[in-house]
Amino acid sequence: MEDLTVKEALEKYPYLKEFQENTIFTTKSDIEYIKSGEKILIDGTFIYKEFLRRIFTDDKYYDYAYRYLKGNIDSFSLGYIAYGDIVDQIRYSKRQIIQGLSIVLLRDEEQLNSECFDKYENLKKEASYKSLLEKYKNFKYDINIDSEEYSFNACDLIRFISLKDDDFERACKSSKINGVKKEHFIYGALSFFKENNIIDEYLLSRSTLRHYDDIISNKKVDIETINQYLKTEDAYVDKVILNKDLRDSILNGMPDDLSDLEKAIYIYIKMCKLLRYDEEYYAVNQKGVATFKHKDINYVSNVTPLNNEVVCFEFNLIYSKMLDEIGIKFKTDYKNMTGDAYGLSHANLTFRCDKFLIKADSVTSILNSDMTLAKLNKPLRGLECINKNNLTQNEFENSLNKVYEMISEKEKQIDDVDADYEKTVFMLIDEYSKLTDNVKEVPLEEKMTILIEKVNSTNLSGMDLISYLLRLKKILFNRFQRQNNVNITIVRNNETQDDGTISTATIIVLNPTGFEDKSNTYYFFVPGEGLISTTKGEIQSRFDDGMLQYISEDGPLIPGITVGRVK
Amino acid sequence: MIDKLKEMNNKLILINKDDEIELRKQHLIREILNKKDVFLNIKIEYAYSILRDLKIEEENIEKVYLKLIDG
Repeated sequence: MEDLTVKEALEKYPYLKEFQENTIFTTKSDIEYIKSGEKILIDGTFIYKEFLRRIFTDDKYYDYAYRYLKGNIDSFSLGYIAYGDIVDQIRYSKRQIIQGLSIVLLRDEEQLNSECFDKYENLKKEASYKSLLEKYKNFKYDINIDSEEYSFNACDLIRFISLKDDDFERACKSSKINGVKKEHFIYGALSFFKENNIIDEYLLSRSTLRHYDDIISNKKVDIETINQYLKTEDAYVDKVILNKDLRDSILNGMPDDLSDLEKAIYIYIKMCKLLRYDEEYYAVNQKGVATFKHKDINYVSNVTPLNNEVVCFEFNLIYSKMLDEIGIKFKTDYKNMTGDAYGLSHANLTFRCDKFLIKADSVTSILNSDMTLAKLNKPLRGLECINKNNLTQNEFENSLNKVYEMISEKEKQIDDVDADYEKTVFMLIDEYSKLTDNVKEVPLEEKMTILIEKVNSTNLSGMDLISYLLRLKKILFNRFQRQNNVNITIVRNNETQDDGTISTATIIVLNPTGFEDKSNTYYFFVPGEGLISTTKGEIQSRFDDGMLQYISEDGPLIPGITVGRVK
Repeated sequence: MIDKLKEMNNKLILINKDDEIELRKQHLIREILNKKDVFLNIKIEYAYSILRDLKIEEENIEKVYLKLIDG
C-alpha cells in the first residue's frame, strides 16, 4: 500500500491540488482513527463524531465547514490520497453537519468553550430558513410542466412547502395556488427543492419536512403523472391499419360526453367483449405454425368482429391504435430480454389520462383473460390504475365500474329487444295456434333429413356455420330429441390446413330410436367438404391418433366417444 | 320465397274478409311473416302449419320449408 504524507502525495499527483478547494487531505491512519471513534446517528446515517469535533477545535475544519454552509463551495470532504486517487472520503450534507454539531455540543458541553457555541450559531445561521429565503430572494425558477412554461418566484415555492400545517392542508385542497393550477405549482415546488437539494442543504422545520414527504409520496395531491407520457413511445402504432367494421363495432354506442379516461375504459371493455383469445394459439402452447400469423404485425388488419380471434399482440396493437386516435399518449411493451420483439414475448401497454396512470394487459391469464371475464360481466383484472395515491385509485375504480355498468346496461337493452322479439313471435304463434288445426307432429326422420340437407348445402363456415347449426338444432328438434336423438358437437381438428391453421370439425350423431352405440349414425362435417357418413370406429380412431380433440374440458360428449378430452 | 308467401297471405286476407276467424288467423300470419328471419326462429311444427294455412300443398311443404331456412 502506498504510504505517503499529504505533502508527498500532492507533489507526486499535482492534479489533485485543485480538489483542496473543498477537500481536506489527511493520511490513511487519520481516517482510520476517525472511523474507529464514536458515531452519531442522524437521519439514518452514522456521522463520525471526531470529524464534527474538529469543526469546533480546528480552524481549518471550521473554515471549510463555514464556506460550505455559506454556499461558497459545493461540498466539504475529508480523505486521503492513494495511487493518484482520493479514497475513503468522509462527506456530509449541511443538514447532517449542523444536526451533528448540535449533538456534540450537548454531549460534550463541559469540554467545549463558548467559542464553539458561537461557531455553531454562525454555521447554523448559514443553513437557516431565513438564509434560504435570502439566497433565493430574487431567483426565478423556470420549468416546463406538461408542455406549459412557468417562471416561479423561488421564494413562493419555498414558502408554500414551509406553510403552517393548516394552511398547507387548505392549499392542497384548493384548485389553484398563487393563481397557478395546484398540481403544477406543487410539481414546480417539488422540482425546485429536488434540483437545489434544499432538504439536505438547509435546516428546515419538522412540518416543512413532513409537507415535503407528503408531496413526494403523492399522498396529499397526486402529481405522479406530471411531465410523463408527453409523447407516445411505440414502434408499431403508425403501421397498424384497423378493419373498419371492427373499429365501428368498438366505438358503437360510446357517448360523446365521456371523459378521456372513460373513453379509454369504454374501448378496452368493448374490445374485450368483441375479441376472443385464439384457442388454437393456446392449444398449441404458443409454439409452431399456428402462431406464425400472430407474429406478423400485418395480421391485425384481418381482425374483424367475426374473425375475432387474437392474442396479446393484436389486442395491444388494436388498443394502442384506438388510444392514439382519441389522443391518449402511451408506452407499449413488446420487449423481451434481447430488446424490442413483437410477437416473441408478452405485450401490454401503459397510458396516461390526466392524473391517471393506467396499465392495460388483457391477458394476465389466458384462461381468465379480460376477453373472457368481460363477456361474463365479471370484474376485470387487466385494466389497472398504477398511481400510488389511494384516492386516484378509487376514482379510477369508480370510472371503471360506471363505464362497465353502462356497457352492460346497453347489452341488457339489446337482449331485451331480442327477448321482445321472441316474446312477440311467441305471443303471435300462441294466438295463431289457437285459431288453426294445422299444427301437427313432424316425423323425427323428416327433421333429420332436413338437417342433413341443410348442412350439406350451406356455404357458411367458421362461427357463422356453428351458429347456423345450433339454430337448426333448436328449431327442428325439441329438448328430448336434442338429448336422445340428435347430437351436434364442434371439436378441434388438429390436421393443419394449407395455410398452416388448425380448424374445427363438426360431428353429427343421429339415432331416431335413441342413442345406442351400435345403431347410431355418425357424420363427419368439415366446412367445404360437406357431410361425410362415417362410423363410430372411424371417429374414435381420429380421437385416438390425436387428429380430433374435444375443445373444452366440460362440454357435452359425442355419444360413444369418451376419449380426447383436453388435458 | 317469403315474398311469395306474403302475396298468398294477402290474397287469403281478401278472400276471407267475411270469415272473422280465418281473417284473424291470416292477419296473425301476416304479422308473423313480417318478423325478420322468422322461420329460423320458430319451431318446424308451427312453420309447417303456417304453410298449410297459406294453402301450400302437403307434398311441397318440406321443399318450401327448406328454402325458408337457408343460412
